[in-house]
Amino acid sequence: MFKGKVVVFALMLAFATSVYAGDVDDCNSNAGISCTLMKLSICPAGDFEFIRNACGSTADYVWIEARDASNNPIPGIPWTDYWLNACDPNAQLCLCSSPIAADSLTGANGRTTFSNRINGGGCALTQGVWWAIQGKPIKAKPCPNVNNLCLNIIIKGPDINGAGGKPDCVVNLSDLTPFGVSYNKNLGQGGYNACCDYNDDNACNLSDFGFFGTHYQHRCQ
Amino acid sequence: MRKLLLAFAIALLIPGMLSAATLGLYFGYAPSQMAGSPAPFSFFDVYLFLHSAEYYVTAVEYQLLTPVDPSHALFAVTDVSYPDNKAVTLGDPFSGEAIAYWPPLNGFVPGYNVLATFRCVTFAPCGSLVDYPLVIGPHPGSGELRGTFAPDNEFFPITGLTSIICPEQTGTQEESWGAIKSLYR
Repeated sequence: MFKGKVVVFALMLAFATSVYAGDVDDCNSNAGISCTLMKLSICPAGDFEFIRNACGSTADYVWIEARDASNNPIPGIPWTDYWLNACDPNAQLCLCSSPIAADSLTGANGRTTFSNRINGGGCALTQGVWWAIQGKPIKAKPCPNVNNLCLNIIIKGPDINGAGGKPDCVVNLSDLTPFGVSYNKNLGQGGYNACCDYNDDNACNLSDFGFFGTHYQHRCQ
Repeated sequence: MRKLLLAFAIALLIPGMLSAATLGLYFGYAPSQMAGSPAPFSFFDVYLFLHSAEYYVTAVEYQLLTPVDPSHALFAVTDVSYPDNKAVTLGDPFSGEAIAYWPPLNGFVPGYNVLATFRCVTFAPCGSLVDYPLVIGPHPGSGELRGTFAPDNEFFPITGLTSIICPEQTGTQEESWGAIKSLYR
């Protein structure tokens, strides 16, 4: 009799765990941006451009909506349970241990926004950026879909080079070389590298060099 | 009416001239002496001063121009040093240099900043280098002589200055000076 109760209790516990409302479903969850295209500059020290300024205004944001397998919203997801990276496999970002924090816990509707800065390096000019909740990248719609949802975000930053030609989360001499090659080149000119054009004026010039100098030797905190 | 317009134009022009940022080489650690007569084969310092740039300056770009004739070889910059807040540089003075600073240079107080110190040497006495000019000109990459300022690294224009090594000394003969004085008696 007692053994039967234990089995029933164990089954209830297992069942309860499997349908736990906090378990993010990558297909039912969703994400988006508040404008059509974001252009965001990032630094490993997390002190470059705010997401809220990345569309030319002061109030823009990335939003996510966390939902479980039953399509119920998931409230209370902590600020730091998120991850992101470039959708272009050849333009993977270098990200610090906690690269982004939400503006708040997810609300009763499962939503929260991101308007702060990203701690990391790299340059992703095409294909966008995916966003993950609790380790699960949100999938493209309609579901089911094997591809990640790619938000229309361009990411640039002074850390574009390191070991293996990949960003290494340190802005140093290895990044000055590619910047120098592109220095004083405009869009359409040979050698122009849009990754060095932090202020998005289609020129890699002294203004961008000023930003480069500001973030020189910055690394993850 | 013409006088009034002229006075108005001058009134507009003078403050603009006074407030324009300048970049030049000085022969002392204060932006006052723009000419010097160094002894040959001895090292001397010249200071690159940014003057009247009322901004928090984050970067500048310029080129140091000297005569292209063979006398160019009689002057050399052997070393360049920078203030502690230099973040990074690109290029060199003769081919065009960009220098970034962080924290930014305070262009308000005292009104000037040393951007770099050039250790120089000449290889001939002043007789071979009379009025040798050291010109601060635009960076050849951009064609601009300019700086940027915090927080958004916007541009501001800079006027380049010319300094002189071995300025020609014009002697005044006693008799001609007396003749001049006699004109005013």
